Amino acid sequence: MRSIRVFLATSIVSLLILFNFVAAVQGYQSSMREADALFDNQMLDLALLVSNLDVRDERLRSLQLGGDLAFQIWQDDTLLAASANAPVQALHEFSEGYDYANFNSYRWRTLARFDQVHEKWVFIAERMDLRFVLAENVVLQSVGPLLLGIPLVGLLVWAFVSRGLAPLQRLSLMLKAKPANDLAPIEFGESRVELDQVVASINSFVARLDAAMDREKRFSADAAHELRTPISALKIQLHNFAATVDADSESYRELQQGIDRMQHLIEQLLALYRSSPEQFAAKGKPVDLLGLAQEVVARLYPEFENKDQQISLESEAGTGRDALVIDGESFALETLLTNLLINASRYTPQGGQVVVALLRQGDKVILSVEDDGVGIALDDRERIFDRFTRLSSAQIGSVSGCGLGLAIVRHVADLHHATVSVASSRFSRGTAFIIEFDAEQTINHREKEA
Amino acid sequence: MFLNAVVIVLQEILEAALMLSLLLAFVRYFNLVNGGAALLRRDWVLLSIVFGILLAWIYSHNFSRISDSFDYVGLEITNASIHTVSCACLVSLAWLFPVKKSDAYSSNRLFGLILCMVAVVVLAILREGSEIMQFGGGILGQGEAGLPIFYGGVVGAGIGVSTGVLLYYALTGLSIDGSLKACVLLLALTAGNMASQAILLLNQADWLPFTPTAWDTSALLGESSVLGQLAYALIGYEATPSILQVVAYLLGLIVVLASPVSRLAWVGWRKQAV
Repeated sequence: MRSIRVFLATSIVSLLILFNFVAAVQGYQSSMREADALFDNQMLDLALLVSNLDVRDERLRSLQLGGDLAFQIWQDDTLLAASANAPVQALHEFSEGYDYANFNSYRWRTLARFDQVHEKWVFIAERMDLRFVLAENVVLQSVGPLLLGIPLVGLLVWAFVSRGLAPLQRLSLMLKAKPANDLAPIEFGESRVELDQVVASINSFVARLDAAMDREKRFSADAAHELRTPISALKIQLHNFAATVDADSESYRELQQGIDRMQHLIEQLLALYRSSPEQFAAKGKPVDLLGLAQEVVARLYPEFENKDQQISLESEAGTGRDALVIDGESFALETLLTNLLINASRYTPQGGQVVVALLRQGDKVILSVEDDGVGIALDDRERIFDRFTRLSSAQIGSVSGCGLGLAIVRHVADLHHATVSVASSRFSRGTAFIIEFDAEQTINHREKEA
Repeated sequence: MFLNAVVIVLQEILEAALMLSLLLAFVRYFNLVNGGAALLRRDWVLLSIVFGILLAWIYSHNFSRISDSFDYVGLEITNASIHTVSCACLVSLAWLFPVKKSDAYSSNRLFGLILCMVAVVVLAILREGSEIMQFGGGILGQGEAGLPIFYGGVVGAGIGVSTGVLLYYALTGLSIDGSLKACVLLLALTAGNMASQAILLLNQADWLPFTPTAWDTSALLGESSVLGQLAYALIGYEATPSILQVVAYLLGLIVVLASPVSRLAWVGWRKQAV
């Protein structure tokens, strides 16, 4: 993924380097030309000076002008005087102006000047390499700081770009930290032209979402209320009906089962809705899981008895009651246990076994429900937690259900920051549902975070 | 000395940087049109650079030995071979580039594509890196006098790398269609450049006959100017190419422009596009 910060910093630094360095090259070239002109002017001054020397002075013969300069004074093909390092032949043509010459193993810049007053030719020569090095060193004095400055500029650009993007980063962190069920508008304290519109759009979107959720909540509550009443009425009517018709007849039983299924479906739909993270706003309080399990097992005991199933509740020997207390929402946890136990009873044949076990392992409180029923194929173990998922009849036979039970189990587990896993049971066949609660990370913890 | 160093280092770095930018832009285009996932990975880039530098180091330390081979034209022959293989890889890249959805997920094709890119990057760094190392080795012995050369090298490298970065952003900043067009065009020009360079080197080695100069534009745009360097690296500009070089250049250009990816860029195979 492309980062705005990297893009801005690298493109700005690249542009700076490109323009500065090209300018440095151009500056170098023009400065070198200027330096050349300056050196040429100096040679002209020297020529004027030399033309005024007394050529009869013998000392002139051995005059050294430093290694980088040489001169000759000519009159009508006769060398009148020259510096010690000058060649014997003329170092320049007898015509006024600048040129180049090679002698003493070096390349020289040469100048010829005719002195009208004394009718003499003055030739001056300057070593090119020394002159070039001198000029280059002067010109490069300005390039050095430019090169040293670039890493500093790079760091500064990075710092400023990061600073400029900091509000965007803070906004992004703020959005990331927002809990899924928090639909309150964002209060972003920093006003920025570029971000104000984004914040306003997000807030307007969240407000519309909040309103839609509200409508859905009202609809669900209304629908549940509206549906519960006629179903209760239907059940009463059915009960009364039993007095006039044969209660053992097939049509009566089917009618009764249909009404029970409808009631169950509505209860499950409501439970699913109430346990979704968007809706769940309950504050956690200590829940004694062992006590809760005992209550649920006792309540569902008739179901197991009807199918001659053995239901047992285990808690690890020596585990104190306090060790099995977690911060949670007891109604939701009761729904979770009920759903797991009803499922176990349904998919376990007549005379089967179901075991509810509770144990503490370090920071974990582990609840498992195992049966010796039909079992669940490996491939299906993740899928079964999706809403309205039912396994094929080849696997589960004619067991009825609406496919919401395990979706609710997962919702409740998620709310408690618990993990749900499916494994093979301790019996030769069957399924084990294992819920691992983190004793430190429960609803209260979440509320504190929020 | 400063200016010479700028020109030499710029020439080498610019070529390698532009090549890398072009390939990365191609990878980005490919991943973008295939749903944004990193179908064509980029982790080979760093490895190729390291491997290229290693090869360049070995190559630059054996310059004299290589140079003495083939009747003292070993360097030219080796460089001509490197250019020829680079050209072949660039052409293969254009022909292998998937233009159909089914091809985009063919692991053989993607492997071939990455192999071509790795070869192009390794060879570019081997070619240019060895020359910079040879040049750099010369400065180290010069002490204080080497400072202008060092400055020149840094300026040349700075201009080269920043141009590469900006070219990458320019190529990827275009629209998807524009990006593909620009990438294919640059790929064709680079392939032409490689072919033309191979001919020039074989000419220098006397393995191919010299042909007359096709034109002379040195007065218009000098090869050693900064702009000339950029034009050389970008489109293989030469002020005085021979006729054989021009023919090789056009051949490289045409083979890439005849590839399916080029047709995708201009004619637009919308329906079977990747």
